[in-house]
Amino acid sequence: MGASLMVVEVNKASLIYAGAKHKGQYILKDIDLTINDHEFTCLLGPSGCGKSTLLGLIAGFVKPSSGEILLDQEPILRPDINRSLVFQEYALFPWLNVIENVAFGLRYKINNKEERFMHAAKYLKLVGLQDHSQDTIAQLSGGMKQRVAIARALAVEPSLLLMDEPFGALDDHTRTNMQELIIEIWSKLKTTIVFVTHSIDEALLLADRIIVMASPDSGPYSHGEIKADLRISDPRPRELIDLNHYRREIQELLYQKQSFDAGI
Amino acid sequence: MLNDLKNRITVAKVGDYKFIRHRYIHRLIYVALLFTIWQTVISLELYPRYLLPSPYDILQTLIYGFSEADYAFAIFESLRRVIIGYLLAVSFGILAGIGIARYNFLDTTIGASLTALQSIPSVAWVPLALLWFGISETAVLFIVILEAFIPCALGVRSGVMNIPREIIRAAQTLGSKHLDLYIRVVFPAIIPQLVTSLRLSWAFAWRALIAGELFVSGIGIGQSLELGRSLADMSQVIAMILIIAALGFISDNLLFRTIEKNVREKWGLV
Repeated sequence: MGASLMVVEVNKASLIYAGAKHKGQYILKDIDLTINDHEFTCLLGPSGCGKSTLLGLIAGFVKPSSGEILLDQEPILRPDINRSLVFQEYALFPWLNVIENVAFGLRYKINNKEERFMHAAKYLKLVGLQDHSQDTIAQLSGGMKQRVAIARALAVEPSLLLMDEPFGALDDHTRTNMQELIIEIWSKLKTTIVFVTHSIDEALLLADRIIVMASPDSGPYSHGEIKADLRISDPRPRELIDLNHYRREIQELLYQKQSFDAGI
Repeated sequence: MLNDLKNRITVAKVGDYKFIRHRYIHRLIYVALLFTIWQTVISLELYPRYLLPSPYDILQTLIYGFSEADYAFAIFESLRRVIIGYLLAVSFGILAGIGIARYNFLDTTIGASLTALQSIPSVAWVPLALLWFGISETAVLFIVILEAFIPCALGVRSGVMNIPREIIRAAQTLGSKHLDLYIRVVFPAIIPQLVTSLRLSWAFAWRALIAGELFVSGIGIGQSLELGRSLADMSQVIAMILIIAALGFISDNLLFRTIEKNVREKWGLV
């Protein structure tokens, strides 16, 4: 937060597989990336291209084998409350009710319990679940669970919101609603978002900027790298039909790779 | 339409109630049938009465045992013993289980040996316990603690290891770490598995208790069972077996399974 414009800086970050079976193989190689304040960035690519791994590096779950990742000039060494994450499988705490889930991280920010719950209620309202604050997690539908997870991640007011294929487990209708919701929230809060997806359409509808990732050659253990960095400046809400030229561009990038694969 | 829905819900409830009533009727008929066969064999006088007492003999033994003799005290003493041993065992078991799951070197050493120890039946420890502690309560406690500790530690270990990685990571990105992470996330996350482990541990403790008590002096259910054998009092032997079964059934089915079911529902596992 504050005056600095740059939020995340990934400098020549590589990650080498640590397991015994493929020791020494690169998962990510020489990734350079800068993510700017208030920007909505999508990491887009086919499965296995390392986009979730890159998100894990930014979250601080894994340390890069070489290179560095900085947040406001400070190296990222471990997970921290200023970088909260929304997972595909929600990762809610089933022993807590809805509002307690949202208030979980506030324990480390607000001392007074009542204030914590009032603050959490504000974010629950933001995702439209103000009437479900006392529900148990088991009672909720998938879409509602993801709303709680988003409220929980936003309530701690992170400088960076990381989302790992957050709508991948939802049905089409719910996914569309959630995409609209996240744009609405982002327009309001302007939280910097890094959003991982394998859906070109989803990236086109949501992002200011799309980082297209792919593995440069075939084979299951090839490393991922950044193929392109596209800026989408179309106003929101967007219609997919207006974004066809971008889609063609991305498909060509990914298709090139495929034909290259086939040629080998 | 609302009325229609209400009706349907009511019908469903009546149906459930009927089903439950049927279940009890079936059980009642089954038990009655067992007693009838038993009583029939008695009236045929195929076996001497001192080897196969009638249901009535056993009822009389039970009434006498609770009103005149020390059955109630024996049950109290056995329960006291098993509860002390059990609580010690599961306290250590929970800590050990978390430790084993946390540190790889503990898993490859202690964790592996627990799996091996688990295959030893509790009676096999009795000679060792008697030589170490004499024919005393300590020997019984030793066996109970040893037997109840193992399933608890192993259950907690696998509970911790099976926590979805995302749950831990979510908590970390929300600011939880170190001991706080264990208290607020790891421990609550394993509660369903913990309750199952506690139930298993209790079953093991209960079996170990009776096995141990058979061989030591003092007062308890196992001792009364062994006394019945040495006096050739078959009524007392069967009465004690019934008491063991009843207490086991009450603790396992009524207490632990109810808790287990409620917890699993709350944790969204059903």
